[in-house]
Amino acid sequence: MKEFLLFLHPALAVFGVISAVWVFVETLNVSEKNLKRIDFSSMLVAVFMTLTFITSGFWYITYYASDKALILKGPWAFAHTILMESKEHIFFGIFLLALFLPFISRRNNLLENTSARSFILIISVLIVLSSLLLESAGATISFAVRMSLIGS
Amino acid sequence: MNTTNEVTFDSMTRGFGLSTSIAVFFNVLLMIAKEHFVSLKDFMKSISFFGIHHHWLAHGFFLLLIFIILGSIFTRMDIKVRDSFLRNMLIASFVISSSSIVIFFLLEFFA
Repeated sequence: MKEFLLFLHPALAVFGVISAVWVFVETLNVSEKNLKRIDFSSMLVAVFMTLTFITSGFWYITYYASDKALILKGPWAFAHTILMESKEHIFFGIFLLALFLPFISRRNNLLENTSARSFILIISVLIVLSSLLLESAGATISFAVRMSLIGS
Repeated sequence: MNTTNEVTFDSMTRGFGLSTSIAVFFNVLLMIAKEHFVSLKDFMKSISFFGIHHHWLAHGFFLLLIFIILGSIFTRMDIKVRDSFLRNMLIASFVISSSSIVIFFLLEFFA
């Protein structure tokens, strides 16, 4: 279960990132035909980030304590003190942006409203870039556990 | 066509856009307060969500509450905030709060 959740939560976040890229591309090429796809993909971003919140939260609360103890004793203690601490709080910002995204796509006429389109583009870029940074922080944290175990 | 100096977003986008910016700013304030005041962290740990006690969970639900409650209030108030202002505020709140979080923990680590 622990390993499953460990791999599930970044996978869900990656699906959220892919959905945000999808929103970005559809919005760049907005037309009558793809309005529903913009709606759908922006909802997907919110859904995947919510699922990431639930699964990562469950993993963090239930299983992370043992990894944390290992990391803090090892050579890569910064992985917890800087990366994990930052990651767990920056995620909330991404989560809120993801929840807000569907409000813009559903409540505004994207064919005519250039401001709404650029707002969607900016938010999706923020979600993609910051999520990728958190993904790489997560990989470093996992490696820090390994570094502690091999004791180098 | 419209320019960014106009109010073209609907009331719900404006309301929840403002609440998102505030919640994102509040995220970093709550984090700093939690790290400095043990009593606040203990209080947050004492709150139960589905039988689970954890300050991070309380933190997340608190931000979610701010997002929903302020968003609903601002939508009802129909605040006329310019598109450019809302957009810049949201970008600034996200970038400033995210970098503040990293700087805070960097300082803690090297202190």
